[in-house]
Amino acid sequence: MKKILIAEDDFFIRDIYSQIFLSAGYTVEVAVDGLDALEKVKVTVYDIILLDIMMPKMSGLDALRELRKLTPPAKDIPVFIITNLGQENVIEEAFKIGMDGYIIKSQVTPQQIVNEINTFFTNKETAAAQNKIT
Amino acid sequence: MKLTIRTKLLIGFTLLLVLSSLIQAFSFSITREYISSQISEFQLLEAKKGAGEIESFFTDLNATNLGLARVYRDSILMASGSASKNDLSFITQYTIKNNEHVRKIAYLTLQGRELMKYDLHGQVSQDQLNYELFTDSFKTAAAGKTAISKVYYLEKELGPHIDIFTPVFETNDKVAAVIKMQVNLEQLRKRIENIKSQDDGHIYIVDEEGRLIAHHSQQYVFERPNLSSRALIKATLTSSTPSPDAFSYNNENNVAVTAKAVKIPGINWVAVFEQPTSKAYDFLVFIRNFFLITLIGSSLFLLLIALMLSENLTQAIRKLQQSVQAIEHGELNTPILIKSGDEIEALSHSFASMVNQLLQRENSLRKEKHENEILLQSLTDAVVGLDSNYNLIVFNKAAEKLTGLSATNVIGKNVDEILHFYQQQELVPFAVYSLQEEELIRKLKEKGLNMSNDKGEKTTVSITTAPILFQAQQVGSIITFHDITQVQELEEMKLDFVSMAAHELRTPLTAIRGYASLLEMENAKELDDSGKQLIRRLVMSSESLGNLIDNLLSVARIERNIFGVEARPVDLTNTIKNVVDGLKQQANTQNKKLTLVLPHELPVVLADAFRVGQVLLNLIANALNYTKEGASITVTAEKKDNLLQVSVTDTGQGIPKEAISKLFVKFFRVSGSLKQGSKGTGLGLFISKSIIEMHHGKIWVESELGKGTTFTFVLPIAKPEDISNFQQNATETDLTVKSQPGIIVRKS
Repeated sequence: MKKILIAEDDFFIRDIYSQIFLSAGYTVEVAVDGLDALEKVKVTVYDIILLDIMMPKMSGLDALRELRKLTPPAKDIPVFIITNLGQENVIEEAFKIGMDGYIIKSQVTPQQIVNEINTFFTNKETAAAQNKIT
Repeated sequence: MKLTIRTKLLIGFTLLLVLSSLIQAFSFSITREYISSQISEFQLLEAKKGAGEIESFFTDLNATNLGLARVYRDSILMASGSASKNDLSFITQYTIKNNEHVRKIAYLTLQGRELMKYDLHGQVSQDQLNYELFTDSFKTAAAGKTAISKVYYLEKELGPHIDIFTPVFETNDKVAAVIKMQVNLEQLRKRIENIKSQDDGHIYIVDEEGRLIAHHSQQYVFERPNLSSRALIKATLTSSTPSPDAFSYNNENNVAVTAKAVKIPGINWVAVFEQPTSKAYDFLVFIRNFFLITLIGSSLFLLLIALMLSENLTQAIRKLQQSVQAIEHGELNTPILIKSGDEIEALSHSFASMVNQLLQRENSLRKEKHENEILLQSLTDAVVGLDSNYNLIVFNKAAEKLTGLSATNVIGKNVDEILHFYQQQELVPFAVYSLQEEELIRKLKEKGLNMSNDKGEKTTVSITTAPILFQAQQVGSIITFHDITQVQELEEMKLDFVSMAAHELRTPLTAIRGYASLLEMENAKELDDSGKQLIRRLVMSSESLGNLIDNLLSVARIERNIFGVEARPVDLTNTIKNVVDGLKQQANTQNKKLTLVLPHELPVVLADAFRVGQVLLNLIANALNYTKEGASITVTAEKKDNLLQVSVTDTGQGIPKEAISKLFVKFFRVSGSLKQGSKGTGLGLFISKSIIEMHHGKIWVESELGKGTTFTFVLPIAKPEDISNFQQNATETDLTVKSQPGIIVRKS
């Protein structure tokens, strides 16, 4: 059971993503803003975090920056940005501070997100397996 | 050699003067010749008159003597004759009494003995009679010819005397006796005095030895001078003909005289006419003086005329010159008319009318300039004129207002010193700007350039440039600045609004799509077909709303120049395949045939595969949307020269011609003739065109009503150096991969 943290300020979107990941077999926890997400990361080790950018109290990008300053294992948790901002400079900035994926919410269906996360884990495990063999 | 008019005139007049002097001198010399010969003639004539007087004097004496001889013959030799001895005595005494110059008359035998002798007192007594010497003259007379003795002087009387010997012939022509008559030559003086000339000329007589025997001054004769030393007398005595030369000498009173002489035939005496030279040549002197005076007078006159004329001429010319110079310096109102009455006046008239025309032309030019100035200053757009060196020559009020600079401070300065243009943040010198390609200038004109003045105030201006041509050469340019700052601000606000609205719309839209898809996934089993269709429609509508929002955002970003295109060397085969494959299902459901024609290999292009995919997706989606059932759509990709060409051809109804040109303009949709009405936002083709142009490619459409439409775009093929450059400059973002629209992941 993969443990996922969904940091999203919009109630409905939080609800949709919680439902779809629950039905996809994930353990889902939610945070309502960046600060909330950072608090949660400090007590629980998640397998992946979905982080919105535009959130009150602390933006997703600031939260990601703070996260990468923490100690492992919290520091190494994969982070996917889920946002409606599509500007290249924002995407570039997100990559620089260490995100693993960038999803523009309005352009994908919830199922596509789940598929993408599944693929991410599959690829990761395949790579790990290959590393073990070699 | 440069000569003033005055000098030329003076030289001309001097030449004239020299010529006239020469002519005068020549004519004077002819006149002098003539007058001299006239004087000579006159003097000769006078001398001849003198000679004539002497001849007639002797003729008279001879006649007397011949009479006495006849009486002597009749009374003495031929006693039988009519006259008696007493008659002879009477006649002889009578002769002496009546002719005071006859002093003595004696009757001689051939042996020289005096037979009878008479003087003023009557008959001389017999005892006082003596013998005559056998002089040549007596001998001549004894031989039968009248002879005259040499001139001699008596003791008692001072004057010269002569004796005349006359033969007395018998009837058989035999000389019987000789009459000797003593004559006082005093009488000659009286005779020659009568022919005294009016010009103080007078006649004197010298004998064959040159002794003076008759002169108007008795006293002088008494002095008994011998004048043979005078060249004239010497010449005349030795020559038989009168000398043609005029002789001059100083006479006894030391007066310079001119004289002519004539030899009296028979007695070889000389009659001289002498005249004071001054008197004789009076006329000549007068004429000479006249010539000289007229010469000097005319010289002065000519000189004066020349000076006056040259002064007159040069004064007029100088005046004209001064006026012309003044006019040359721009004082067109300078009076120029000259009242000289000659060609210069005419010239000044011509000048005046020329200047008048200039004035008129200048006035009309000034008026025109003034009008243009007003026009220029009243324009609300800033107008700036540049010369060929990009220096400012015109700067109107609007330009002053726009830049905050005053025209007087900037005229003559280089445009780049005064005005700074920025394209984004980059400084664009005007010279560079004006040399840009037409297409770029058109865009810059539309978007505007940022312009900052010295105070750092920024404005956005749309620039229009027009070349100033003079004789087919560009000598400058006129730039018009249209202040579009407010327009730009408005545009910014619009874009801000669109961005914000789109973003705000995305969140609820995401929720709608999310729930719709959850519904579709989880409740599918419990729904019947109509329920499933309802959900499907919900999903599709929310998808198209999402597309609309995405397109709006894209347009806003394109307009702000922040629409990102990340070109890299790429083979578009997969991209094209994926797009076509993704739409095949839609085509099938619409019962349309979607075909892809691809060669084995496509050339590598520098492109953003995702963006190009968006363009292709848009083109195929359009084809699907605007064709009827059963239509076929063909997608072709191929290499054309150094371009990759991709086209989408459909068998639809085509696009009306009038619409084609507006097809790529944002918010434009083909309406009217389309039966199924208009779909979409009118943004797709605008975005597609922008994307292709960002790739330095081209997109266009060919269409025939009723037959179909072909949309084509071309992208430049990457050059080997582009590819190698790109590999060297790989950046962090190259580590990203777009797996599908909306999802970007880090390369693992």
